Amino acid sequence: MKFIRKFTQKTRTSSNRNRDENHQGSAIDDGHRPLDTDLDINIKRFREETGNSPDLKVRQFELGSNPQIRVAAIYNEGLVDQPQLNEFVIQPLMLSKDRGRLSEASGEQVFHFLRNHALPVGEVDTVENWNEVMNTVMDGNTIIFIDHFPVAIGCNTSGGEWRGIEKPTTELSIRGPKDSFNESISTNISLIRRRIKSPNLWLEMYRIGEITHTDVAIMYMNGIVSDQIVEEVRQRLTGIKVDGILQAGNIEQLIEDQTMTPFPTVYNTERPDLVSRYLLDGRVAIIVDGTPFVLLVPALFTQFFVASDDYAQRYDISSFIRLLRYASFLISLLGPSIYIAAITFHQEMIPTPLLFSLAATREGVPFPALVEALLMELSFEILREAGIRMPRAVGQAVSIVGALVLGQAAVQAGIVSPAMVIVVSITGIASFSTPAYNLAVSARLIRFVLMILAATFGFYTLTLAMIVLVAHLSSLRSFGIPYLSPYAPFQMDDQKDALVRLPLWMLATRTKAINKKNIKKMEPSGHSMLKKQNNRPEGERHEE
Amino acid sequence: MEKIRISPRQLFCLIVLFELGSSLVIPLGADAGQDAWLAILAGLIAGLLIFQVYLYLYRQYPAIPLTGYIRKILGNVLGWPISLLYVAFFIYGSARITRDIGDLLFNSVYDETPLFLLHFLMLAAITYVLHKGFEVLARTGEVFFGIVMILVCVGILLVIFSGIVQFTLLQPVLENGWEPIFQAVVSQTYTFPFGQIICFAMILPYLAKPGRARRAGMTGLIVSGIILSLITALEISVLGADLVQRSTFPLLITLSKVDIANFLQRLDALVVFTLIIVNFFKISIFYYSAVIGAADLFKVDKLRSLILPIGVIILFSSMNIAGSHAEHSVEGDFYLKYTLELFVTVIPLFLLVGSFIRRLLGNRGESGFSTEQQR
Repeated sequence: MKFIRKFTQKTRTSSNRNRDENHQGSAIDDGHRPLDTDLDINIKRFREETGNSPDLKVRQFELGSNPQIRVAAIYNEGLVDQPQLNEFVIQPLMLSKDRGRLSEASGEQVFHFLRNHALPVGEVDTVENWNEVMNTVMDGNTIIFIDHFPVAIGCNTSGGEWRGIEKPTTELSIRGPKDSFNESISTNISLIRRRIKSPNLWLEMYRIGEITHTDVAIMYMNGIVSDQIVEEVRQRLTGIKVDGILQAGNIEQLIEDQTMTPFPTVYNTERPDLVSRYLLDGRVAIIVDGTPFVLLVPALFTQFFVASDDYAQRYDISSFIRLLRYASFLISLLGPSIYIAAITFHQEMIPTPLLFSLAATREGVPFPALVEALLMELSFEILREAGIRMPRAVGQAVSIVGALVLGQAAVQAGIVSPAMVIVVSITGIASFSTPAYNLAVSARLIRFVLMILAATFGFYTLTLAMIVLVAHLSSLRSFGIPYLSPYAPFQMDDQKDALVRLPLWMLATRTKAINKKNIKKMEPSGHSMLKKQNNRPEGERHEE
Repeated sequence: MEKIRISPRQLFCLIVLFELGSSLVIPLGADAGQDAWLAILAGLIAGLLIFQVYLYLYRQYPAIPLTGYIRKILGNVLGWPISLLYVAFFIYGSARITRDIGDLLFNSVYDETPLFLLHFLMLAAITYVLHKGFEVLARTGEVFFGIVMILVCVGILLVIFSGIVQFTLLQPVLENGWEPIFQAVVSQTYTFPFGQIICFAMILPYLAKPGRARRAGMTGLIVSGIILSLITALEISVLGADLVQRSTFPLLITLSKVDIANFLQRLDALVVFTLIIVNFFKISIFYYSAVIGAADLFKVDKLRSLILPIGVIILFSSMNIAGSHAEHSVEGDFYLKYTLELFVTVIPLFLLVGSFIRRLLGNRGESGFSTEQQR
């Protein structure tokens, strides 16, 4: 997909090499067979190989005179930019002023003429075998076959319809920028490039998927990112041999360090500002064509609690909100299981008056606390899943049913106790306050295991489970970086932006767990500016 | 040996958690009456002294664990059986602490749950974590060090704020002179918990920066000693020395007396929670020491393959070492007075002397010791 180069300031040879390798890998029988010299045979073969698909158009022309040389333009109707095709490919072919030059020309002369003089498009390419022909057409470019010459011309005409840049739908923010990625890889790359205007923002292109040939780009800040990580990403990406990559999630699951874990070790976001932020922090972005989410590696546990707003607001507010997020993550993980354990095993822990009122509400409930909790949690999960999948129009009906039937009616019928409804709803709401959806989901999953453990052995197994959970987290690695850093292994310098966020002028270094070189991200002058500001009130007093 | 590297900070965290394990709840240095807190500090000093011996031996043989240099110093014939005894000692140690926590849970909450199941759950969790590797345990230790410190601080503050502390109960200081304190130090507080740091003689070879072992170890011991002393002082000033001495779990009783605004009550759960965490780490370290020792003695390359078998041994010995809690306690006295003394003081001192002699011989350049060390 060469048009991408428009956006790249550095063309990487490795990606070229990789593209060739991919072609070899996907070569079907004689994919590398050269083109025929005869135009009709070429067109016939193209027609046969594509099953006469009517959206692949073949337009024939006659060029020159004495004898006339026939040429044919082949393109995919839906993938080309129609006005561009008409104006810069079809029109010159039909109306070229220099046609006179072509009298008594051979196929080769026509080829050179077309290539060098006739086609006013940004990118023209030489295509020599069938594989390239197919790829060029499937990318939305136009192929021009020339009679009596076994080499074709590919010109960049790709375009077509994409969703525009819209507001983010899953990661909302109050003060942050309001653009989000869309399905077009070139748009997504440009959104990032627009934020980081540096020649050191390097891009590498890969094509992954033996059949789908999906474009996958990796972006990183040269000079900041650790070479090991980039190399690791390259290796894992080129190691993927699969017929189709349909979305970034597929890539994520094929390159993550550890599959047997409920926790995500690859970060994804639909916000260009967050991607830019993490690129500057030495991470590698993986952009997959057709997905409005960009993957970022390495991902640390703390990263999933960061929202874009954290850096838009003042540090005290951000810190408070971030602590709140950690707390609500714990609630969404442990809420029901603590309630179950306390009710089932450790009633003595509950203050007596509260215990009385709890006991009174549970009086008519025919189930043990675990069954009650599982019932409510499951119905809540079903509601939530239905809420995501259902058509917008029936949304109200579902929420009425959910709120009334599951909440009020279940309590009034004496099937569940009001206290349980409170616990479950707090848990549910708490799980929404984790900024990263994929981490919130893993908490939901683990919650059920913890509930069963709490109902069988109370706080003892709950405590053991927490230790095991932390041990599991600290055994994870994301592209070689310990997942739980900066907590374990403890990294003092990274604490400034982990549990809390300190003032921006104190965030003078990049994340140390990830970056080995080029640690400093803020000049001392930035600090002194702040000092000056601090001194201003004094100066004003002087004036008075 | 597998390639494991732990940082000095992780070593420090593990040492603190290890020292607090088990010792946090039982009446420590109770023989010294209201001066128990002093007995703990005196025990700490004795522990620091014996730790110097371990450090010296570690510096002589920085790459091999205790069981390894026992055989280097005493020769294979004498050293191998002694090393095997150490493995047994570590296994017994972890079984003992497993039993401690099992008995506590059985007596306080889970009176209808089989003891075996309680032990099984604990050891299953530990086996899982150790299977992930010692580094994972060390990192987990870092996280839980923070949590335990917060819990300890909250606990101490709550006890103070609930107004049940009478510092007069700590007086008179040194009523019967220093003698009861020395008694308490010798019979308990020196070996348990501070002397048990002998386990780390097995772990120290994994330290990433050998030069920092001293600082990490000493601060770890001092911090845990101060915490234990503080907590004991608090227990005495809430319950009185007599009650502390006679009760099995004085810290539980102390915190159950906390009542703030009729809402924060029955905080003994906090203690049990803390205890499960610190005991988890103490059992793990004894357990892993046994694994390292066994792997060293039987020349097993993969430590991991020994984790499960030794776990099963610990599980069953934790059930069989005593028929009842009373028996367990009586055995505990013997364990504190003789077993620990032997493994913590006597043998290491012999090793120290032995290594001096080896060194003298080595200086004359007539033994194969130095080449052996290189190997």
